[in-house]
Amino acid sequence: MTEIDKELLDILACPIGKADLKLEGDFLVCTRCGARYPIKDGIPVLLIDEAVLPEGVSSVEELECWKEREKGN
Amino acid sequence: MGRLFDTWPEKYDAWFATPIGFLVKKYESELIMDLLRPKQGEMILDAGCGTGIFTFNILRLGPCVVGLDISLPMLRRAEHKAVGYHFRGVIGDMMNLPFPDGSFEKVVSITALEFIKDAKGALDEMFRVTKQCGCIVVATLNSLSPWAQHRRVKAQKGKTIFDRAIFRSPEEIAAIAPIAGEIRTAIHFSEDDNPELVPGIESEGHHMGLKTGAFIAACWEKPRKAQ
Repeated sequence: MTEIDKELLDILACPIGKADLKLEGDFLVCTRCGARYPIKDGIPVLLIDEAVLPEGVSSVEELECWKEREKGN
Repeated sequence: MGRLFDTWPEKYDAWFATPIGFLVKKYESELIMDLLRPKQGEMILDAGCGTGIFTFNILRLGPCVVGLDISLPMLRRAEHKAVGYHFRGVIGDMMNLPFPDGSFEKVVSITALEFIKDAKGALDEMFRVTKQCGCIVVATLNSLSPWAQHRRVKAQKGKTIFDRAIFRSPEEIAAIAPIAGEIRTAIHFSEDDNPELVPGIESEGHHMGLKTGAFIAACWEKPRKAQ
């Protein structure tokens, strides 16, 4: 399992809708939309293009975080 | 976008080690540090930190720095320089910062905005993640400087990373910000000037308040929200 600094985890958020993330194995997972962001060599990769979408979701636009963000714009 | 920078870290660092590159870094750092004034214990975001050329000067004063960059090789280099200091690297995109609102006392971004088309969008993100009464310091390359012309010519020959860069003027930077701020420039000498004459030229440009220095640095204080 990947180690990640707690201090850092506390201020990281989903780049799409800015919701909290939780650590699951080698991924940081968005607690709202379920998008999974890889951790490479201990460095979180919080790029929307590299998000692994949850099962049953085929595009970023379908994610809760995306809808939340569109509301805000 | 990440790939554009992945092949660049050695060349980028090497240029700053040349005699004129050293002076450029010195004056750019002085201007940044004068505006940013990092303090012990502050949380600072370095957005587009690259290889961490300027990050190290900030870290020495004791704040915690989160370095965000789109390129993993660049960020690895930054982490390497920052060993022993409060530095955490994150791969991210300046248009979609992976932090909640008001996460940092200060946000700094040094020569990263020129690689972003929607500079206003990136600056809005920087304002969003800054705490109320915190400050945002942005440095970028000045389109009014002779260096910009020189870099454009080199870029056309395909020799540098600057073929993708967008140079902006101090007025353009002021115009994308949601509030008024302080804008200064540095690097009033040219690449071909005798390094011994540089301190005099730089000091004269500074005292005259020239807007044509190659390096623009802008500073804004995020206002307190009205209740």
